[in-house]
Amino acid sequence: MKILHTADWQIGRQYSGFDPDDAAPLAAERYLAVERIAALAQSRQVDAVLVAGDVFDSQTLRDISIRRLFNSLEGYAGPWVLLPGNHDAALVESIWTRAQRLAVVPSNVHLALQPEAMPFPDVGMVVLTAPLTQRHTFADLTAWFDNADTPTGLVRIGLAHGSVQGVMAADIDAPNPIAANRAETARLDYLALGDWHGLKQIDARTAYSGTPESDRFRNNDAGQVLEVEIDGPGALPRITPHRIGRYRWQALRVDLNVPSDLERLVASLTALNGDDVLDLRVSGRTDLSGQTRMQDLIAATAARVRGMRADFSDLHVQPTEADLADLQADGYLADVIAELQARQQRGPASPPGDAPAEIAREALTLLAGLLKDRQAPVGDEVRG
Amino acid sequence: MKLTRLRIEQIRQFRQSLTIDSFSSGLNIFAGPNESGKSTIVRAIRAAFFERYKTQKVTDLLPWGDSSAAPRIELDFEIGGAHFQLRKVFLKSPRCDLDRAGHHFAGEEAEQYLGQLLGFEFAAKGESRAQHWGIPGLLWIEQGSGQEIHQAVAFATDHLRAALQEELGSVASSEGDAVLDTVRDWRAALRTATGKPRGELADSQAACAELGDRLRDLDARIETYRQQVDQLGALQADQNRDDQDKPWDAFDRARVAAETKRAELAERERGLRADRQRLAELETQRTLVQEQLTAVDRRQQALTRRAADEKQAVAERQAAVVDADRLVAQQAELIAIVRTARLGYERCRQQADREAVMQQMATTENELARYSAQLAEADRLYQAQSDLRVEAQSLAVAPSDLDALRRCQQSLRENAIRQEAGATRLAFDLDSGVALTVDGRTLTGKGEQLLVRPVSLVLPKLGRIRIEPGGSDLSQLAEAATGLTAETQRLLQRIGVDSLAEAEQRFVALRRVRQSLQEVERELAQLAPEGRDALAIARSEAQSRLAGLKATLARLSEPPQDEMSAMPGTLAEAQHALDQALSGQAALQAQVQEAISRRAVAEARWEVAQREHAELQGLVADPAEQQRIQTHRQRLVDIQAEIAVLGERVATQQAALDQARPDILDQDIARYRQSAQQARQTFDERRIRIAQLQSALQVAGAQGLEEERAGVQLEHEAAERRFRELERRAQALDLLVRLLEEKRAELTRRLQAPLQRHLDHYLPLLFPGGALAIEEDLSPGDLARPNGASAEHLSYDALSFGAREQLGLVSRLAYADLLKAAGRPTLIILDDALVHSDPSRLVQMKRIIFDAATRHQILLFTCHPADWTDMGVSIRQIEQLRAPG
Repeated sequence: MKILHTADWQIGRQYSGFDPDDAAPLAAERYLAVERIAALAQSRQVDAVLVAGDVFDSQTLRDISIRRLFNSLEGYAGPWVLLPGNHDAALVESIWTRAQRLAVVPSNVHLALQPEAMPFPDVGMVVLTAPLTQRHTFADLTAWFDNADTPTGLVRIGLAHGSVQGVMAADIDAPNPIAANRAETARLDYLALGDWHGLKQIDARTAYSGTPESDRFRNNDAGQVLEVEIDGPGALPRITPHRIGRYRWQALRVDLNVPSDLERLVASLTALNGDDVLDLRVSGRTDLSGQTRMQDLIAATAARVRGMRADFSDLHVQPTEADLADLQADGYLADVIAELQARQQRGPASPPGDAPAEIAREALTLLAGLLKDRQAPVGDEVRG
Repeated sequence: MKLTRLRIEQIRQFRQSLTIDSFSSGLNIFAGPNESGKSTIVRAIRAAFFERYKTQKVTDLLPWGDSSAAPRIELDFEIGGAHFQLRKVFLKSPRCDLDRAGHHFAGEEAEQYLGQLLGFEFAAKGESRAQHWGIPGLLWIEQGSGQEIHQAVAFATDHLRAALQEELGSVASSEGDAVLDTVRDWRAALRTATGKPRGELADSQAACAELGDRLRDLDARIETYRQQVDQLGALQADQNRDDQDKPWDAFDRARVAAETKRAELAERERGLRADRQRLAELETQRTLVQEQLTAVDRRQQALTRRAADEKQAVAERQAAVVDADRLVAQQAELIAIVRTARLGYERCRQQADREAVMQQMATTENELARYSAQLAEADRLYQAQSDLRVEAQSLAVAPSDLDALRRCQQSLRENAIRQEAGATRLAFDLDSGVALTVDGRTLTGKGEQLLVRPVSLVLPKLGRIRIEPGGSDLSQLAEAATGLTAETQRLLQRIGVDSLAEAEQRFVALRRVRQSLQEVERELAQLAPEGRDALAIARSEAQSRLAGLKATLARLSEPPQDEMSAMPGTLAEAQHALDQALSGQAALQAQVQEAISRRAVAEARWEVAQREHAELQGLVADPAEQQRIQTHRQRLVDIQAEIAVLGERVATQQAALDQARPDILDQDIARYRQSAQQARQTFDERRIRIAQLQSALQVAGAQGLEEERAGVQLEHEAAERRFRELERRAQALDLLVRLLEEKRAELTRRLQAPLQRHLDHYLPLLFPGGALAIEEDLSPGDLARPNGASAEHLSYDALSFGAREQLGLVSRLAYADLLKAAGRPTLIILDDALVHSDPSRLVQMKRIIFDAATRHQILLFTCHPADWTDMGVSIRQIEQLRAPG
């Protein structure tokens, strides 16, 4: 038998820090990712799809968002097991009870709203579920797996949402703990976990599939689902990742020191396309022409990629002699430019009450742009 | 710059050529009346420099009425030791040639060169206007425009700045002000003058705040939703537990047990109540029996008491009898004493009465004697009165008659006098023996006769002589006299006298009698005011009273002489003795009455006591009574035995009941019932609450709060990003504006310093202690003049016309100095300058111009040559220059 293991769909998640025009497609892509999972399940002819929690990003989504999610499951007619996680815990009133009230849960979709052994005799497996029925719990909800008797001959698969103790983040008091050796103590053939958004295998029978569509700038193999094939009870699972995610979340850190650094930045940015989401932080120093060039580049990149955050707070603009000559800044304008440069250099050590270096850089950029525009008309006319 | 030669031809009034040479390098003064050509010369110089040679707009240069002329101007001048020759012809075959030390420039090239050299521009086309004139526009003052300087400075500012910078060796920004304006505009779009956000910055700040509010609102609603979910979970858990445990059942069971126990206790309570009732009955019976026995005892005691009472009544009766007898004896003694006292009192009283009557008799007798005397006196007075009245009657004369008589007498006397005065005097002296008869009377001897009426004088033997007195009224007088005499007689008769004298006497006598009568009447009024009869009555009354008193006295018998000695003193003392005796008798009478009444009471009591004692004795001795007493005593013993037994049983039962606490049991029953009820109610209410919460949550859940919140948060972040960007831009613009202004101000200060120095060279001559500020465009600003301890600030435009003209010239000279210092050519032309200056200021201005002329060539044109004779140079007359030569 083989199943698909996925988790942390986070349906309804919105993306802050981006232009709303970019945030909307990013949010919409999560439904498309689910559709791709359904298509994959169909094409791989798996026996079931297990979703290890956080199907929804929050409890109170609009009805239409709930309907849309269940519509996205249509591509796979086999059994789906959806487990509530910390974002969509099976509270007495929850997004699950709402979905039930809306009557949008198809018969092939099983909601694991309470801890139970969910047998699938046709598939030859039984799924032990450990749903969150509170937002946070400090008890190991998978503990009951150890004493759960299941019919012999069925593959035992655990489905849980939380952090494996001692393996994931070091915080001892992390909520929703899961014992690291649960698969062993509960005689599980496979323990499908959710909560960690990256792909991570804990041991031979335990793994986090990660979220199928990346949602943060962390290089942790997110954007995949796991195909898990188990020959029979006791057999070791064969785990195969499949890429589902569309958007590449890239964190780019560039320190400009020599002119070629800028060239490298240009190369990096021009390589990006509409499937990239970029977090750019530029530090170091550049001259006016570099600054201008970079601004153009950033504008072009922002228009091309799906989403971009950019931070230039540690970048200093230092006009060169040539810049100044180019600007034809004479007289007291030259004095002002010199003063602005000096203020940038002072950095955080600038006297209190004085404008910070960032403001000085902005002022310098503004002034340079203004001077350039004042020279521009001649050239514009030629071009026009 | 030094102009060395000027020649003009075919210009306005100079159809023929005019040549001026031998210009001095300092001051040159040209004089001439109006219309003599001063302004034409100035215009020619300006045209030579400013007007494009090709322009057709300079027709004002043409001689009058000659439109085909070719105005020609030739100027020779030196700049920095180099010689220049400018030849310009306008309108007809126009041309321009400039030679500089063998270098030739022609046409526009020559003009451009000139402009750069002197610092001015040419009009693109048409006539040259003020904005093109630059430095010469500032230094060449046209007639009547000396006071206007700001515009000229504005048009020359760039050239002045350039000169200043050359002197400073620094470079001012060519773009600075435009950049500053733009930066200010940009900043003004984001901030108000006071630094508050406006425009897009304000909008985005407001949007942030609004979205923040929405976020907080959504957060609150989400929090409420979550709390309600938690509440619902907790309620649901409780409900499930109760549904399973049914806690009210346990309460019901406990209540039933308590109720059973309570029923048993109630049975025991009923038995106890019956015992208590029986006990109470027994106790009532016992009380009755005891009361009857007590009554027996009381009767025995009463018998003893009655015996004692009787004995005491006998004793009291005896005492009362003795007392009464004693008092009756005392009463008899007192009656004798009273009688004696009364007799004494009667005697004393009779004596006193007699004495009083005798006293009254004496008084009455006195009265009688007085009345008699008064009566006699009165009679005498009445007689006198009567006599006097008779006398008065006899003397009666009417006063009116008397007056009339007096008047008649008087009139007669007057009449006689008047007759005598008017009468004819008949004097005669008759010889003895001769007699005459006049009206019957015979006259003899010597004498006189007054004739008042015609008389007949009988001369014996001679006949008669009739004499008629001449006075006409004599007859009237005589007639009146006759009348008066008759009246006098009548009056005398009426009065009853013979003469007036007698009448007067009678009148005096009458007055005396009347006086006496009055005196008598006064005495009578005093003596008998009520008349004689009243006196007579009073006397007769006194007489009868005296008779009465005598009768009374006769009635009062004399006291017997033998008892006089026993008289007990005065009447008052007798009275007192009698009163005492009477009161003693009265007091004793009361005691006697009381004693008698006491005796009667004592006897009655004794009888009662005797009877009661006898009756009681009979009763006690009755044998039926003795039997009854015996029965009661036996009954009492029986009752008490029964009470003892029953009382013990009641106490035991009560103790048992107290131990079982039925009240607490009752409370237990109520408590368990309420608890069960409460548990059911809680269950029901919780069910309702759960339903309410479920429906509320269903509604809230469908709103998609968190999804909405995520959306709003995105908007909020975008708005904040936008605000941060704008705010950073605003701060950057703040910084730029501040820095640009600072640096610009710094530069301006540096630029202005040399000009200020030159200005300060002249100003003290004109305004001692004064200071002239320099505006940013280098034009003159406020003038500060010392005014007492402080300084007075006046803006340039607020100064008088004359002062503005003077300051304008001073400023221009300072600019000239500045230009000179920068190596620029300077030529100063003053056309009719300073005509508005008062003599003292003109003196100062002349000193200033003279000083400036040591550095600059100055051409001064004036129509008041007399004003400028003290400048140390010859004044050239335009008229003389015109002479062909």
